Amino acid sequence: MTISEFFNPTSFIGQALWALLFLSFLTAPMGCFVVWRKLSYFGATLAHSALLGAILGLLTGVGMLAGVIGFTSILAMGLSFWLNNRFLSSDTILGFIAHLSLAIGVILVSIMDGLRIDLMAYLFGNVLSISSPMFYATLGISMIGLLIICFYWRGFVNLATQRDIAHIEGFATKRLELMFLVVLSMTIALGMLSIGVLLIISMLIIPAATARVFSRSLIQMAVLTWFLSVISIISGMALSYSIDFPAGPTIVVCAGVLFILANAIGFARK
Amino acid sequence: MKNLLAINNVSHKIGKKNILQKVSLNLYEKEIVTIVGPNGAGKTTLLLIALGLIKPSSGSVKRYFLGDSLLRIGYVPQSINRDSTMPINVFEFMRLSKNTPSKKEVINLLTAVGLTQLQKSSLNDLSGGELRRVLFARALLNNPHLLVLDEPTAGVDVSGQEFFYHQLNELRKQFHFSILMVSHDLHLVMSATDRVVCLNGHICCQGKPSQVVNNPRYQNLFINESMGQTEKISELAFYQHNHDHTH
Repeated sequence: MTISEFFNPTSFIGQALWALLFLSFLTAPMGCFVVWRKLSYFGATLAHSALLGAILGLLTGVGMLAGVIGFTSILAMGLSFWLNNRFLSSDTILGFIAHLSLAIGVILVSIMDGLRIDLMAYLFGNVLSISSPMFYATLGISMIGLLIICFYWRGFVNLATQRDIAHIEGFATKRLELMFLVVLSMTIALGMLSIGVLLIISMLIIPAATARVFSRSLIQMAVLTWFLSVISIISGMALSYSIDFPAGPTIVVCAGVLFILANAIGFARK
Repeated sequence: MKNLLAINNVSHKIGKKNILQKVSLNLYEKEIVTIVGPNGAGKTTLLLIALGLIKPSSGSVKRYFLGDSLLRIGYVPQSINRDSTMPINVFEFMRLSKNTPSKKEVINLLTAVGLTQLQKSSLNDLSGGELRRVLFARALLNNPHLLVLDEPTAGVDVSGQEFFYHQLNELRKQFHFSILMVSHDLHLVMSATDRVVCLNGHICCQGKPSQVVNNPRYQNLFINESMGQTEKISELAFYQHNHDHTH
């Protein structure tokens, strides 16, 4: 296969590659926010509940993607409310919601013969078999999400540093939080289809954690995170194609290798 | 004196616990009001209610118009998320303010609080006192009528506290804001305050520092918290000294 074929969006590997590259416009900035706000377990909980969202979407007829985005958005809002007045630590609440929703999802898949859901594809992703409508949906939703992030960037950063100051200065903090959770749900829904429920969080946090080593400002970290995501995706897809490894896990391993290299360089510099 | 903010008959419950009972408080222009009280007296809750960050169980908070604009508040919290995962420096943090201040405005304010040399420092490298001054400068960016400070000198040593109150007074002359604050360091607060409000779920007493210190209710409140404290208070409350040098 030539390089032009590899990047040709009408070939099956090119289509998968471009879907992931577009998705990186969402995972990179959102990954930074997840790291800054310590939301990785929160994000993982949303990802685990995505299977249940997909089933509900198929059952109600709104479609899988809308089901996942809708369900995880509502769950995210419920959780952010619940986590504020708690008798249990957020860690406990997130732990049981994540696995309870995954358990319900798996039971529903097994008892409903009409549902044609490949469990392995949900858990570990199957970007190579992405359908054409889903490919265009990924492109469109990624671009919409990126526009929302650019538009609300300052507001989102304020939420991450000091929400009360922002509120008093006149930021609509509740609406901002809502937008943030919706974009996070969009990211996780698209990520679930390509990288899988169990691995999407690593695509959010590993490149961001790597970028932190070299970053001196927030924008710099977001751009560097995107760049590292792109390198992980291209090298992961190339490796996966040439030695026949599963695509999603290979990309995650590439991101992990970059993390180790970056920390080694950071350590050597000191 | 113009009215700035009125807290009317506010009560607040968390679960079944009464935190505040029928608290009424008026704030006026050019005034410095300090809320004191033992731990768990509801000081911070009252502050958050005044700021509109918590809705009280009953009662209301009214903000008045000054000229043609509604009361602008600047808030200096105790701390912020400045986790080392966030690469953000002082200058960048200041520019996050709602009105997107110009570089010049930011530098002017950092100069006013004496932090120009730290503008490129990362937030997570600042000491507690330095961070407090950054938050102070950020609150002033909004050109507030009223500055609300939550224990502004908690965790700052005595000379740092003196410096802070001295600076607060200087800045007040320049920016003309009124102050509402919660504080623990009784003696320093006393010398810098127009009105002390002694809170313990309800308002026990309020007035000029010299009146409040002699009020038996105030003395009871603090003698229960730690024996011997009153002695210290009466000794220090009237201790005032003038700065004739800087360090």
